[in-house]
Amino acid sequence: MNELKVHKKPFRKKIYPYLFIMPFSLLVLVFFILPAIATVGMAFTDLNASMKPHFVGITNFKRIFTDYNLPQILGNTAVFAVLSLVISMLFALIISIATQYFLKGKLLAVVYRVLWLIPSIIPSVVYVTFWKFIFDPTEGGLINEFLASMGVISEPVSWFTKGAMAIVILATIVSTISGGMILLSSAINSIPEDLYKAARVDGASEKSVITKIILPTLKWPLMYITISDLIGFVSSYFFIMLLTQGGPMRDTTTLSLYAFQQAFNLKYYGYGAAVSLIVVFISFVLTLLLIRMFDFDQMIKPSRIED
Amino acid sequence: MITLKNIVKAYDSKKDSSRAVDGLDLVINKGEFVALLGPSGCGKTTTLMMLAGLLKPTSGEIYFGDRLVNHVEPKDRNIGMVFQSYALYPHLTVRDNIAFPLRERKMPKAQAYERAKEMGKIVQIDHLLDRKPSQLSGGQQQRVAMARALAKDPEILLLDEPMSNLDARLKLDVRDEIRKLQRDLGVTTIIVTHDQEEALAISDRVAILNNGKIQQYAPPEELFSQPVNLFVASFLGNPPMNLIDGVIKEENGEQKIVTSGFQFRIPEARKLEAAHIDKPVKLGVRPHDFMLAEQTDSNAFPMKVDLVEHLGSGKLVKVIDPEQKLQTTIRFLADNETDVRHGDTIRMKIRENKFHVFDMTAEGLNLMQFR
Repeated sequence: MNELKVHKKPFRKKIYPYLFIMPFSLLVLVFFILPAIATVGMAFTDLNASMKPHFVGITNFKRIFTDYNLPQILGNTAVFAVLSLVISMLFALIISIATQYFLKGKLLAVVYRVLWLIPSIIPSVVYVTFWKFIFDPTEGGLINEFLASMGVISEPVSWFTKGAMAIVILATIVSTISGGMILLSSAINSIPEDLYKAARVDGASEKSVITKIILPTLKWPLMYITISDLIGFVSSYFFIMLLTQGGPMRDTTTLSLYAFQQAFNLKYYGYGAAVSLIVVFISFVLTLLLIRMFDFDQMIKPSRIED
Repeated sequence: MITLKNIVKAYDSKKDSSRAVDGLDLVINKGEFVALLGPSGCGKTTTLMMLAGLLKPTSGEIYFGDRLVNHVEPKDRNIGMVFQSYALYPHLTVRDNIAFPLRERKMPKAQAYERAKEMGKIVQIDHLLDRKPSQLSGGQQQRVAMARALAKDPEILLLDEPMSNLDARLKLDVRDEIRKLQRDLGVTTIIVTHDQEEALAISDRVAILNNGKIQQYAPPEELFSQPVNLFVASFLGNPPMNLIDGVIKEENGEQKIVTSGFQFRIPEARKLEAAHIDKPVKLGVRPHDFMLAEQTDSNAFPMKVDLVEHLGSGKLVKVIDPEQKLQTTIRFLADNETDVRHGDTIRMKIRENKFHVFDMTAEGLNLMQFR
């Protein structure tokens, strides 16, 4: 009799993969999953500084939609996210084409790109202090001092009351450009040299090289930047908090900053959690929308780098 | 007519060793098909790039007809070019790829597309015009590249290793088609290749380059039968030419080459100048120019069979002299009917007039007088 022997993996071997992922799974559980569950739970309570939560149903959400601050905050969020995205992407594109195509291989191009990296590698607090110094409303502020010495102004200008949102966006894009720049530069760098040579032989104008060779290559990186940056801008509040704390009044308060302020400044933990759930919901919808719009399925298919 | 006069291209002007092309002279007639052939790093691609205007020569002059083109931009040279990678624009359709050079010359779209279709027909890809390059096979991409290069009706067609990415069998077909197309259109064509078979098969004349210099510039059969120096002789031919060290001797008015393994009498008509007598030389004989000899042949010599390789169309036999005094084994090609086995001792001779004698200078000049 031939007994068919099925080779069984010993239990010890089966457990190895799980042993390997366990430490990280624990971290994910403790720092991501549990807080997420807690947030959702909190959103349905009136948890505040007294730390005695009562279940209140959807009262918090009702309150959000009747919150008189909401229209302005949503507007701020949209202006901040869209302007930051469009401007930073445009600059990233221009810098990448300039340094990787027009100045390709030149030392100047490398130095220039490294300079752009500086804002994103220095600590945010230091970076924000720098912007605060530039736009300082007293005579000691860099711009005020400069303009005064040129004789343009006689009184120091309070920049943050005049254009807080503009300053916030400026500071955000300057530190964001480098990320897009790296992605776009490397994509341009992957274009084979022969294509440029062929274009020269074919008598292609610079405009044709950019529109017919370079830009089509950047389609996928541009989509990626749009999605990741837009979601980042919608859910981030760190810069704004450090620069203006959402002020003056609520001029630069975005939805995510509002959630933070409600929870941690005013100690309305329940209400803050509810607002932050709205942020998550908006990010989620935006992601779905952009994925649909950009044909994301195409993007994650096998390699799109055509040689 | 294209004239290259004493062209030098140095990538680092301070160092002589950086010269990719070092004093190159070349004349290409109108309508001629010329190959630049050589091992990698010989300067053939650099030369082509200078013809295209993608590189500027460090010194020397390039003329298209009577026009000095050293500083003329590629687009103003009226050239078409096919790159080794084909360099098709990946995001344009085949039609737009072929029409691209025409559109850049401000030709109306309808007319450019009409011309693209026409070119597509010529290279037999007119059914693929709406595809993107990534949806084509290597052979099809190569045809599109040809069509794009020829679309603007260039005076000069430059081909940079156009067939090195095709498989061996396809190469044969494509090579014939390129040759036929070139003949029909009468376009002056320069091809760069490291594949000697391709160069010899396709061109009217072949320039063999080494170290940035032209070694020999001649029609294929002449290169093969009358190599001017050791480099050309050993570079061409597969399996390569046998090169055997020897000395020229004269006895009783007869010249012979004495090697450590055998002696070979030089026929009367091929006698060398007296100055070469008693000088060391290299005897060069192609594998198919050895043959089995009759027992009575006085100019034959005995050899011992060391190895027999079957090539399909024949046998490659490696032999060495019976005392094994030669430094190298000799390869010779025998037909399948020749019955030789390992260990046999055979009598061999060299085909009349099918041998070369090279001097021992650095250039290894061929001493034979071709009359």
